[in-house]
This record gives sequence, C-alpha cells and structure tokens, in this order.
Amino acid sequence: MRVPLTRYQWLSWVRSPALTQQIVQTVILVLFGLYLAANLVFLSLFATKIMKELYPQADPATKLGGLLIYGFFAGLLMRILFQKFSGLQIKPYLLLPVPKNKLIHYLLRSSLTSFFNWMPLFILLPYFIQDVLPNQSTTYAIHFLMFYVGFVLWNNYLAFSVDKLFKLKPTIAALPVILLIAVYIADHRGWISVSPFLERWFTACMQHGWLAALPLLGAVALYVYNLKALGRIYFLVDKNSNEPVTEMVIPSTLLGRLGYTGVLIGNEIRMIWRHKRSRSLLYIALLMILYPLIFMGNPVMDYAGFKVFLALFITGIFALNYGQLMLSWNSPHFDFLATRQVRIEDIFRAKYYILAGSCVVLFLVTLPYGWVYQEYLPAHIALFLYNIGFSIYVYMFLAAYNSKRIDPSKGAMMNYEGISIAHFFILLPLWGIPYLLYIVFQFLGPNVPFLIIGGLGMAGALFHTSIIHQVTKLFENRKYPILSAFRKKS
Amino acid sequence: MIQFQEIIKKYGNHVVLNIPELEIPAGQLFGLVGNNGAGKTTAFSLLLDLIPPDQGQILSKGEPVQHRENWKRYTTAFLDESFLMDFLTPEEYFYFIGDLYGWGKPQVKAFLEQYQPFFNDEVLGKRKYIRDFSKGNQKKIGLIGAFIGDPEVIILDEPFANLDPTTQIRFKRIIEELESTRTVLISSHDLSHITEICRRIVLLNKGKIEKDIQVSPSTLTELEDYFAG
Repeated sequence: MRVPLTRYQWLSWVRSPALTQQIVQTVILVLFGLYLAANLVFLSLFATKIMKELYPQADPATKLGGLLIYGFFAGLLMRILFQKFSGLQIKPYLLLPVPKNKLIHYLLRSSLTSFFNWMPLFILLPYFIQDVLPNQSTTYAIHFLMFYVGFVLWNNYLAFSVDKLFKLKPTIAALPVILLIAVYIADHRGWISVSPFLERWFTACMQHGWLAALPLLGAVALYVYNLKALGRIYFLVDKNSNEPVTEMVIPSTLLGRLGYTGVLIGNEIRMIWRHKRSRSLLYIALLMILYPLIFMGNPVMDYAGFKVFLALFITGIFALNYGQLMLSWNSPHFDFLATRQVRIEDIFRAKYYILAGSCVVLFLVTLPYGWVYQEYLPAHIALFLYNIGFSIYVYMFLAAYNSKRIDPSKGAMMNYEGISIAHFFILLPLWGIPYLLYIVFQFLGPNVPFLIIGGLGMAGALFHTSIIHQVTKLFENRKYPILSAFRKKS
Repeated sequence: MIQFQEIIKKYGNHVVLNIPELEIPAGQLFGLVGNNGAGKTTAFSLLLDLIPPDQGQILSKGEPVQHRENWKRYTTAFLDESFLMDFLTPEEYFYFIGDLYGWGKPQVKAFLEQYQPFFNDEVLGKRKYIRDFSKGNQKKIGLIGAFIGDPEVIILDEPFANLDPTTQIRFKRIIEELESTRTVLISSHDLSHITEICRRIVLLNKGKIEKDIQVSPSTLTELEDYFAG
C-alpha cells in the first residue's frame, strides 16, 4: 500500500489555523531566498575575476576551490545552528501499519529540499558552467561536481544526525562557530596556514577520483547510519526529565514594593529563562553586544545614519525580539491570567519593566563603545531613550491588534510563529522615525537630532504609567478576540 | 449568588447555549451534566467572562461579570491546562496564586499541608516543572490551586477526569468538607460521583436545560435512565 505522506504534510499545512500567517511567512522567506540566490549567482559568475583581483599570483581555480571548502565547513556549522529537520510529525504514524523504515526514508529524503541545499548549488553551478566546463578537462569537471555535491549531501546528513541523534545545547553548538571564525582570522593574518592545505586537498581531489568521491561516500554512509540509528530510537519516548530543577527565588524586598507588578515580573523572568525560544533571545542579545566590533575602525561608523541604526538595535534587541510577541508568550496560560485577580494593566507594567530593564542592561554593557567612539555616544544615549520611551509602547500597541498563540518551548532560530504581516507594517516606521528625524534635523547641528530623539524618548519613559494606562484601555475592547486567538493551536 | 439571565450563545447560526433563567444560591454544591456539546464548558466560560454572550447577562452577587473585575476577587476556576502555568514548579505556582490574594508563603505552605494525602507524595517537593508532570498530577495541582485564596465561588470542569480512583474518592471528601458558605460548580460525566457530592444537578442537552433536580436517593437512577434512553 502506498501511504501519501507528502499529501498529509500538505494537508496539515493547508488546514492549519495559522494558514494566512504561514503563507505570508513563506512568501517573505521565498523572496529573501531569491534575493540571496541572485547574490550567490552573481558572485559565482564573477568568482574567477574576483580571485584574480584578490590573489594575482595564485591560480584562481585552485584558490577558489580552497575557499569553497572553507565556505562549506562554515555552511555545515550554519546548518547545525539553524537548519530545521522536522518535516513530518512522525508520531501519529507510528501506531499505523506503515513500515517505520519508510517514514525514516521520507524524513531523510525530505530534508534535501531545504534552503541550505539549494544555496550551495547557486554558487557552484554558474561557476561550473561558465568556467569549469569550457576550460577544464572532463575528468576535472566530473571530479569537481562529485566532490562539491557530495559535500553538500554530507553536510546535510551530518547536520541531520546532529539534530536528531545528539541534542546539542545552542551554547555548545555555537563554540565551533567561534572556533572557525578564529581559525579563519588567524589564517587570514598569516599566523597559521590552513588555506594552502585546503588548496592541496582540492587539487588532489581534482586529480584522484577516489578522493573526490569521499564526501559522497560519507553522505551515503551517514544516510545508512541515520536510517539504522533512527529506527532504533524512534519510539513514543517519554520526554520527562528526571533532572531536578532549581527553584528560582525572586528577592521579595526588591519586587515587593511593586505589588502585583512585582509578582508578575518575577514570573516573567522565570518564563524567559525556562522556555527555549525566549532563552535563545538572550543569546541573540549577547551576540548583538559583540556586533559593533565588526565595524571598529570601519569608515561606515562615521556615517551618522548607521549610528542611529546600530544604537537602536544594540540597546533594543531584546526588547524588540521579546516585546514584539508581548502577550503571545503568555498565550498557553492566558485563560488563567484572565480569570484571576490579575489586571491587564499590571501585566503590561510588568512587561514594561522587563523590556526597559533589558534596554538599561544592554545600554550599560555597550556604553564602552561610546567611550572609544565619542561621536557614537550621542546616538547611543538618544536611541536608548527612544527604545524605553517609545518602541516598547509600539510593541504593546501591536499586541492589542496582533496576538497569536505561540509555543514558547520551540527554539528561536528560523521560528516565525506569532509573527505576522502587521509586524512589518508597524516595525518599519518604528525604525524609520529616528532615521527620518536625523535626516530632517541634522542641518541644525550634528547633535540636534539626537537631542530631539532622546527628548522624545525621555518624555515617553517619564510618563510610562499613564501611557500604559491608555494602551490597556485599547486592549480591553479586544479581550475576546485575543482570548480566542490564544486558544487556537497552530 | 449567580444568575443567568436570558443567556444565548451562538457560534455562527448554531445556538450552543440558551438559558433563559438559572439561579444558583450561595453555598450550593451545583452539578452540571450533559453529553458532549451540551454546553457545559460554554456555560462556565461565559460565567468566567472568557467568551461574550450574544444575548443576556450573567450576574455574580447582583453585578454583571462582563467587563467587571469584582467577581475575580472571590471566584476561582480550573477548566483545563490553560489554567496552569506549566513552566513553574507546583510550589511556585501555588505561591504565585497566594501572592495574588495576599497570602504569604507560610500561609500557602500551611494550607498545602492539609492536602498532603490528596497529593499522595507525587506533587510537592518533586522539583519538576508542571509541564513534566503526568496529566493526573497536573489536574491535582490545578484543582488545589483553585482552593487558594478563600474563594466563595469555585468552578471546576470535569474534575474527576484523569484522576486515579483513590484521588477521586479523596477529592469528593475535600468537596464535602468545604464550609457550607462556598458555592461550588462542577461539571462531570461521572454520574455517580456528581450525584454523591452535589445537592442540585442541572442536565443540559444541546444548550438547553432539560432537568433541574434537587438531589435525592433516586437521582442517580433518574439520570442513568435519561442517558440510557
């Protein structure tokens, strides 16, 4: 009997209550993918030229071959961090008379359709057609294709095994990424020499078929390994962990003064820490702190519009990521909050203190950038105030009109659950306003726009009690639609 | 205590609940029975202002529940797992509820002490998040959570489902031992349990009140006959 697994996948997608949301996300992802693909094709077509330009002495084909291996290793790490391999909710089929092997074959094969497998092809094929085919021998061309396509498959199935068989914590998975970046920098500066080794590897592969075939053989071996290993572990496993959890005691002296709001803040902190998605937002904020290091000494720092952008995101990244889903984080237990003596105003106030608190922490931690680049300091202060005195209210406003149920225990990477088109319409102006203010007022003096932006933010922060009160009123009329949206599981 | 007045709730054109009049006096142990789709959960959701009625209103202590907050001070409920905060440990959850009613930790602790037999050593001190407990133990947590804060009105949807037999019997005893001032509303498919603990039973069928019975020794047979027919 043929079981139309692909068809059931399709049905589960089409019949999902969040269909429009998913369509919007898919369209955006496809557009983004096409944009990326166009960039890669362009890069691929000009690869030889770029190589000649950068390394006039070396053979461009060999140099590129080595660089591609680098790139593919980086790709492997990206996959481990970001590639998602679920595809099919396998659980309901385990009880049906469908051979388990068939399900696993399906899982393994459907992983090939991932974006991460298409992107390497966009960089390989144009170069292959334009440069390799006409200029190199047939053996070379065959080896080239076999080696890199094998590499893509090997990466895919290795990332698959890591995802399914070893549950890596994001912190551990991030270590090799940092290591690879360090190796690349060290190699680039000439402290160690990895690229000559990679180039020799590439040259050897182009000469010896068996070497070029290794990644492909590895991919086949991994496929078989996954098939066997998954067959052994795919049962209805009980997810209960026996590891005792630590109770989080919230210092009552600090929060007790805030009354109900304080109690809610305590719970909110527990919620952020104990859910996978919200916790990964903390790691993202951590990465964002390091982001300006890339631009150290780069002339782009001098461009003031860039300062606005940088300061907006460094101080507000957590507030943005966490705040844009505002109440959705509470969606799994919102009926509880709605029927207990918890005022929505207290919830919003608790959220405000959490979000503004995150801005304060990020502001202080990144303040040293302002000492190093004194020209950046006004933007840093002004946009920090803009975040605590304006952005957060925008997220609250968004919550009243766009509330979707989310499952906070899913990871944050490539996870757009709860995000809708309304976010784009509201967030773009939010980011545009300070930039616009900057353009308009910079003629009055270099720091005038920052005074205006900062002043606006300061006023907003000072009047937070009354502003939150107003936002709450807005929400009260939307209570039932939001409650019903929060009950719909996607 | 609670009055349903001309309540009509529709989904699309389909009337799911139509209660012209129903009054539940203070201190009553009130049971709601009916097959799936009879409107039991809808009635409770309306009473808790989780969904709006299409017509009519529900009064609690003479005051409409819709758009008001006062009833929340003396009303608690456990309908389903969305009434749990599953990322907390049971203790944290109970302390959180205690905080809402101004109960300090020692008071909550002392309160939980009397329910030790009900928890049967499976809930307290386990150092697990609520999401990692079994369905039955989650239910125990939710039910006891609804007793914190000296509520005058307690609303419980299917409290016996998922509980093991021993816990079901213990839970009946807890309800029976409550002070007579508390109003308790329970829905259940378990006819023998509900006739045992409730003083009055209302039978819903397709959104309408079919029977309104003051419980007597013959009530169980009466209900069984109705559902068998």
